[in-house]
Amino acid sequence: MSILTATDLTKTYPGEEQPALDHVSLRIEAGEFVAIVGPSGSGKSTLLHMLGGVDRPTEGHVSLYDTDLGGLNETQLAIFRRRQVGLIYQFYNLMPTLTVAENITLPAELDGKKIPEAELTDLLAALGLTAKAHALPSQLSGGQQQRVAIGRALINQPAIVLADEPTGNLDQKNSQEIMELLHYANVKQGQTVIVITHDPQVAAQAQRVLTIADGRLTEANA
Amino acid sequence: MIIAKISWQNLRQTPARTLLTILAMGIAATLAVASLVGLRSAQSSLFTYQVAQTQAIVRFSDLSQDQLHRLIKEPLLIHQRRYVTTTLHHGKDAVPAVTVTPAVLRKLGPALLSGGRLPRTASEALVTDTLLPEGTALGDWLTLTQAGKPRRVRVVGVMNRYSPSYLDPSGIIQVRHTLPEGRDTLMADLATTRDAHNRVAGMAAKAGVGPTQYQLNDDALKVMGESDKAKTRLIIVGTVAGVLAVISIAALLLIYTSINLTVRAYRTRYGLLRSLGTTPKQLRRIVLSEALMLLVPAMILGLGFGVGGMAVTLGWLNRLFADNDFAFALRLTVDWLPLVVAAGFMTAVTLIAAARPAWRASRVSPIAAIRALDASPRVSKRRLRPGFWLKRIKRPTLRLALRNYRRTDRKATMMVTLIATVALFVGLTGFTANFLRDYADLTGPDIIATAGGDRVAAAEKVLVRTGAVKQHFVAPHFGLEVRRGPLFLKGFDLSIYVVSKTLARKLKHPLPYLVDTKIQTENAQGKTVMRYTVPLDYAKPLVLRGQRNKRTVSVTPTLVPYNAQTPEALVVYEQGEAALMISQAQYATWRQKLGLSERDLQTTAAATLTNPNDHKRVAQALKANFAGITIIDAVATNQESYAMTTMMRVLMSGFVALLALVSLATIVNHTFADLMASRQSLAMMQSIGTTPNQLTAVKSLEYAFLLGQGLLYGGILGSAVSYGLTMLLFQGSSNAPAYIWPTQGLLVAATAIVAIWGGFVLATHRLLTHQNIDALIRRV
Repeated sequence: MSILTATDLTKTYPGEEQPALDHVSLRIEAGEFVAIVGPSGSGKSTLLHMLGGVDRPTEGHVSLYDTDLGGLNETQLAIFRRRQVGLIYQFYNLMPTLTVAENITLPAELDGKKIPEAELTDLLAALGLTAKAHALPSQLSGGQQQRVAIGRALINQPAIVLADEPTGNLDQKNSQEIMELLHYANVKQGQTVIVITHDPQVAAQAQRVLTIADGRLTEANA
Repeated sequence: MIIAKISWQNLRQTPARTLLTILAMGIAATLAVASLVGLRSAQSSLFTYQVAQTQAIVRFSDLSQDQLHRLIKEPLLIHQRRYVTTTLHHGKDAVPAVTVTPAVLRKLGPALLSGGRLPRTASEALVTDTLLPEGTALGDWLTLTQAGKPRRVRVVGVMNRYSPSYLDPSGIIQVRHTLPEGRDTLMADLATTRDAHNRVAGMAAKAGVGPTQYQLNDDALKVMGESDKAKTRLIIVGTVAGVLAVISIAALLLIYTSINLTVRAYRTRYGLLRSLGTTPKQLRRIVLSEALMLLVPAMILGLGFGVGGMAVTLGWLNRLFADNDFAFALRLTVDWLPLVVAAGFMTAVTLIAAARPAWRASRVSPIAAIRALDASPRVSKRRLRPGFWLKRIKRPTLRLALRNYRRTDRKATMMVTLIATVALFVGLTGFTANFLRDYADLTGPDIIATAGGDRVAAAEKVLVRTGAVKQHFVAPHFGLEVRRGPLFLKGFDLSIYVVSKTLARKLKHPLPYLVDTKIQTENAQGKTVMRYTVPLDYAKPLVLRGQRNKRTVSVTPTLVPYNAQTPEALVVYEQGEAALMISQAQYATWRQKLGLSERDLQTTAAATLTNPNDHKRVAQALKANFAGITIIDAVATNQESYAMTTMMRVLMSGFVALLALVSLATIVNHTFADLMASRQSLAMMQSIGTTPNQLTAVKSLEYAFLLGQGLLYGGILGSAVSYGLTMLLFQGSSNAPAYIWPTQGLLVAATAIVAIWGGFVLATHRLLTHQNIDALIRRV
């Protein structure tokens, strides 16, 4: 069953002649682990942001389950992102003034939900962050921060997890740990995962690899 | 909860900026609290002063026993004082005789006393000045009649018939332990002034008292807004609204700038929150929550400094009043009303000011979390070109400072705020100095006393005995109508002074002579000019007519222009009426011919004092010896005038200064935020070898350019505002005083700006010597 469908996605930034995305179409099945690879400036991040509702396309549509993201207003889109999308960035992008536990539960709290203590403890344990639950991001290493970001992305059990170069700022050991966590979420919890990467080793761990160049998707299984 | 948590954490993370914003908002809150508490205190003080004039808020007159007993029980009437009035006669004239108990007399009597003392026994009386026959001295007996029988009272004190007191001063006042039968009067204050007119009317109706039987102190009630005229209530509400409107402009600007800077600094964070699913509404609430969190400590500061500052200011003003014998005291009144209004006002202003930045935050795109937002600054080609100074200046730090200053955007708001602040401060304080200048008349006599009849010898004796007189002029005078004379005298009364031989020896001119004064007229072109009352070449005789037998006398006096250095200048004023000086022999002739008597004479004693501080003693000496004397104490009047103008100047200047402080706080906030935002670029400069001292010099010069330009343009604009307003005020006046330049205001503004500049230089140097260059440049 297709969980995510993109049709004729195009994104042209003001003042630029070449579109960053040029009529991209794709379909992601539920539970897939997909890698999108491409050179720098090829439109990978732009595509990810379209799929996650972080940015709006100039043309085309994105649908998650049967919800057309283009038909949602700003508030509805924010709620959609909060509940259905888990975002992981290359530079972690944690809230510097919140602790590890607070960063992880942030999307749930924004939804007015209280995460049971036991559930949070289990998640922290799975992320290897039990001892750091009350630490601030500035007190963590890069790998630890990225694990917090993963925890934040997974807390609401979203439909899809979008990771933009999640290992781009990490060493090999940490990169491997992060990828293991993503795989764990994919395999054990049936999470659909889309990873942007320029690292072939990371791409090799995906079930499906899409290549993007000059804003166009190649080897897409549309 | 999460909204509050994020807001709180945001504030905690930047303690310096948070503290600065709280301080800045605290100044605005101080201004609001101080202004409202000040207005409330002024209202309360004026109310007390007005009540002190009549010595009660309400008076019920001509009461029957039943009416009196009903009114006495009313809880609304407090501080009740009762007196009884009977009727005596002085000749054919009816004289009200008021009887009070000793306690009431002790409380209310002193305010009525204009000479002598209060009565102590039943045979003594306080008598109104117009009842006393000519020549009555204190201690003399006055014979009145009661029901045809004579009744004698000893005059121990004199009261002013026209005193506004509700304790009737138009007849005599006596003291008894037990009040006699007569017409009862009840004076009282009100437990509350709210709806006073209706409540008192209701109370009176309930007690069977008619509307003509009671009197309310409307002047006092008007001050409290209890007027039956909507216009009065509107004035009070309008004054408060006007003050708050002025404060709100400065406060809005300050709070808006502070919150806006924060939103700008947190843009990436807001973008992240948006990408995680924070709705625009939630983001608005985060910004508004931060603003309200800042308001709480700011209000506490405002309450403390506002009330405390007003207490200190009022205390100082009261000391000034006391030193200048000004019978008005300002009472600090801190009740719930001004504090609640101030809190509500600041809350409203904060929410309004934060609304737009909150909206802006809610519009931040989620993509802001990922993309670098501040693209390289847009710099026009014109600014990229080296200007006049850049081509000539060699010093590297100065060149860098100039270049940065020229190419930095976002200066417009700061510059406009700075210019407006300086202009407002210099303009308003300059205008205040011109408008509220001390108009005390330091020329002329310190004391002028006037009594009926020829009292020259007695008055001179009293004055000499005080040992305080430097120069004096004592002479009896009367008035005659000018039947024939120059244009500006004909048809008017001329004051004629009878000069004794002793006095004549002090005067420089032979008698008779006319002291020629100046009057204001218009010339043929319609321009206001000053002319002598009698043209100096006027040689014709003056023909004068008396009131009694309409006969005339003629005199050709020497015309002597007014000279401030002469003794007669104590009783004649340069722009007052001309006066004729004649000898005693000439007066004797005219007295016979015109049928004049001693009743037509008044004695004027005018004196300048060796030490003006002796004015009270000299005035009291004159009052104690002459019943019915009228005294003008110029020293006291000047002191009162000085005290009043000083009070107005202090309050106005204080208000303007606080307003300026609020605006300056905006500048400080803005500049500080820019400094924090430039930390990374400063760190990069340091990493390539620029020393902290060099960078401090660069930033100091940039601040100096900004603040210096603001001071210059604001000073010029403010001086123009002060000049323009002053010229408008004195427009059309022929004797407008010389314009006072706003030098003081300019100096104060310059000092404040230099102090701010110095603070920034120190803060910048400290920042540069303590920042972690490595951590800052890694974030690039």
